Amino acid sequence: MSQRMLLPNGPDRITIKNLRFRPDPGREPVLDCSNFTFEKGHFYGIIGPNGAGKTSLLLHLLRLIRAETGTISLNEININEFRRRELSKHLSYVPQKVDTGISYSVRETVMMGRSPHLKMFSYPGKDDCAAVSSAMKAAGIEKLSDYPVSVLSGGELRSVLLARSVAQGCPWLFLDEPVSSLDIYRQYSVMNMLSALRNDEGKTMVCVLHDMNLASAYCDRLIVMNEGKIVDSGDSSTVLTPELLYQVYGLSFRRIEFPEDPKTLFVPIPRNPRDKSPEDS
Amino acid sequence: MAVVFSLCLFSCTPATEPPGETSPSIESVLSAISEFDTVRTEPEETETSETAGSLYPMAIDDSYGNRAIIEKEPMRIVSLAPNITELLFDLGAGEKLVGRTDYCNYPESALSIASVGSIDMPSVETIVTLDPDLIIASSIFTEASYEALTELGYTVVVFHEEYDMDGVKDVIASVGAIMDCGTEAQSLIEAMDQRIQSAIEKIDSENRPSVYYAVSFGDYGDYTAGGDTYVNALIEMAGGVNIASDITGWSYSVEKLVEKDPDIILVNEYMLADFMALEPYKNLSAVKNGQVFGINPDLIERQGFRNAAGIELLVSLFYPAE
Amino acid sequence: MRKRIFPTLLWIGIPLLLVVVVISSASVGAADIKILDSLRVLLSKMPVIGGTVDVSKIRPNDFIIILRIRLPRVLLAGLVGSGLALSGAVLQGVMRNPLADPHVLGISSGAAFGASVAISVGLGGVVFGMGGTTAFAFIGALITISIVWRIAFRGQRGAVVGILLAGISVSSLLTAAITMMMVMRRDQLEKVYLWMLGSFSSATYPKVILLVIFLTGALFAILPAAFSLDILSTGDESAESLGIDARRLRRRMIVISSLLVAACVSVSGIIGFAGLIVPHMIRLLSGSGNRRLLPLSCFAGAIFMIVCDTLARTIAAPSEIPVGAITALIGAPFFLFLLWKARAKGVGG
Repeated sequence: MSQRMLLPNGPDRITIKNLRFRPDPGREPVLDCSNFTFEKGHFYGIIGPNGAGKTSLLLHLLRLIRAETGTISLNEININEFRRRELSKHLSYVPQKVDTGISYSVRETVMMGRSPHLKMFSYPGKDDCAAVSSAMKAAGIEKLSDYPVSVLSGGELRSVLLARSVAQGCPWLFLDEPVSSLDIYRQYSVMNMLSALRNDEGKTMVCVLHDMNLASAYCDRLIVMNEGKIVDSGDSSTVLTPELLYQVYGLSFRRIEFPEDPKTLFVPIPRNPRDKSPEDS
Repeated sequence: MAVVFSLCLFSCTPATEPPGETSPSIESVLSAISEFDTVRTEPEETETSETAGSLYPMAIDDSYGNRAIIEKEPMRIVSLAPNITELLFDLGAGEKLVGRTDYCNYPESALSIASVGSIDMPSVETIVTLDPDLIIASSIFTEASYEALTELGYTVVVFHEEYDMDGVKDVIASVGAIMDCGTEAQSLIEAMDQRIQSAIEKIDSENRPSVYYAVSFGDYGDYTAGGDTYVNALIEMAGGVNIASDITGWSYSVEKLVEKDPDIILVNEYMLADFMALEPYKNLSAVKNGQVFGINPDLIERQGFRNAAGIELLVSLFYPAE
Repeated sequence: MRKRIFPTLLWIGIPLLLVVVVISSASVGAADIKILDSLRVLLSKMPVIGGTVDVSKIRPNDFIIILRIRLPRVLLAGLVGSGLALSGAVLQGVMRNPLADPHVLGISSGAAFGASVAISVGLGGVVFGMGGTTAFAFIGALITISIVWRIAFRGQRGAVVGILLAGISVSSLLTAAITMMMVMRRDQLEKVYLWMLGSFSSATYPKVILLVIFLTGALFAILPAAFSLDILSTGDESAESLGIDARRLRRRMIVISSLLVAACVSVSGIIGFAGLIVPHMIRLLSGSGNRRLLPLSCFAGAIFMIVCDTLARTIAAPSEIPVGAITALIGAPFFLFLLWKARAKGVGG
């Protein structure tokens, strides 16, 4: 199979060009992005209000939705030219949840991540089991190994899906709100784990996040979206400003800086939204 | 609903002898009946009221004990049973028939009579348009239809004969009585007796063949005539030993058929070729010995005069002339 | 934590049980044959030890009963049970619905329609050793399959809901047509009804061979995809992100199941509950993993159907109870028990 792979070493960059997604012709497009390139090795955070098109962008990048207008390319090769199997070796998806109507155990679910590496008609072997074990360890869910996923809490299931993605062993990970509704400790554990994957193994992370502070703390690149468009993007330490946040969220934010720490916090000011003038710290 | 109920209750009282004379022709019919009568409670009785010299109005209790009053000689009859249709023609009353069921296919002249639909759910509307003065039904006829018709004021008699020859003759007699065809009924019965008698003379009671009557087989399941059925009675009468006489009803097992391996097998004439070709039937001795016969099931399944021909046929098959 | 019975125990125990069930079922029946004699007849036909068995005292007709009536019947029941259980398991996974059942695709109604046409018209004939009804039932099933596929697989996704709706609506339409036909030919009503209730009473070796072909074909096509089917049940997007063409896999599985179900229903009528509850029984014992679930469901389905059919033909011998009634009598309470257990645990599936 590797002879037929278009990119044996995985993509160095993923570029979108004039990507539009308009599922309902009567309404505004869900996605309306001009050009952007994701570079290998970075930790991207995609933030924006609900309905900004964050998840749709993610799904397009994974080719789980096929672009009708515009192109997505992996190293200048159109994403549509790749076989699905090859894509699943490069790009990994961590959804918010999966269907647990037919319930498998945690171990079985994580093992599903090995699917791209299994030859046709063969079943998981020793290497696969090892990969699964280490993935479960990294995600901190070894104790849950034999539990059926249907009894897990949302947070635990999220960790299982993360482990599945790790077991899949792809260079690029796409995560859809991996830490929403997790407790603070777990939020930071997961983000730490993702950081480790990037720093230690050179993986590229593309994360849709709700919390802009968490995003700016962990991600090195931020993409701010609103109404289907990429409003701004760039280095996470400089992209966010109260003006930008006001434009996107319609709330006034206060910037809080720490002398010792290059990162800043943005805290919304609890006041009526749509104030005329944004406040400064 | 309450009205119907009370009507039923009223009409279902057991028959009692009304005061008055019985006219001579009925007497002969009654005596004809009593010849074949054994120690059974006979649910059918025909009686008259006083007026001498005339049969009508006639009160008759049918097989269910319902009493019907027949005002005058029926001139427009609807028959809701194939056997009744045949009987009416046999009695020479065929021209009085104005309605029949889809299944009344004999004699041929019956086909030109208007059909009122199926036996259990005849079209009441069609019956009404035919304006009958008497409706005769037999087995399968439902209580719902009975009520529907009697409520509209029609005279309905239901003859549901016993499962043997005597019951058949009773029906012939009763219908004959109603139609004022007592003598024809009598001669029919005598003719039947005669033919049956001469047929069963050929029976060799020492060497009765074992017989299986295949109502259906193969994909449709194995069904035969059990010991409590009319067909069984005919087979026995014709000198055969029905291998299924130990069961009641119709459902049988192909295993038992192969186990008992009868000498003779009777099949519907249209299904004969299929039977001979199908597994596992083709392994039976009767098939190998050419002792499987296709017959017209109406001759023995449909109670009536034709059963005499049926018995003759069976005897000729069971005891072929050398 | 769910307790799992050791897989090895299942892999050995269930097939062994099947062998026992086959032999014992072929030894009982309406005919009065001693069980020992039945065993002798069966053993005498086995390749190696056959010659050593003394069958001289056994009546030739008993041979016919055991080898040409009971044995094909037991084999056919087992094969149909396998087929229905296998399709049930596959459909439950593919539709992500534990209530899916082989008959939900509408094929069974198509077969019933074909059969009722054959019965009403009075089609006889023997085709390849099978009655005209079987052939027509199969044709009816095939036509229905193509209609349902065409409706269900239209458009982009081939979504589960579309398939279910297509199956249900076509099924209703056909049932209405069957009812009309039954009413128009009242004399054949009973025959049609009895056919639909399901029966193995007309089992013959040609039918057995037909089922062997279909079942083997289905197994070859389905078993290698077992792992992919596991993944498919987590969701289309989830599966695609793992490299599985969800739409195509689902289509392929439904096509194969449809053909298998068509064969099963054509030879034996509409027998319910086997396809529904046997996979659940196996899930209770060994989990949802298709690598174990599918083959074990085949064995268990065979056992279930053979037992039900043996009961159907011996409880009221020589009368026969329709086997569908027995599967329902056993299956429905078991299903209620499963539901009760699931609710007590607060777990689904």
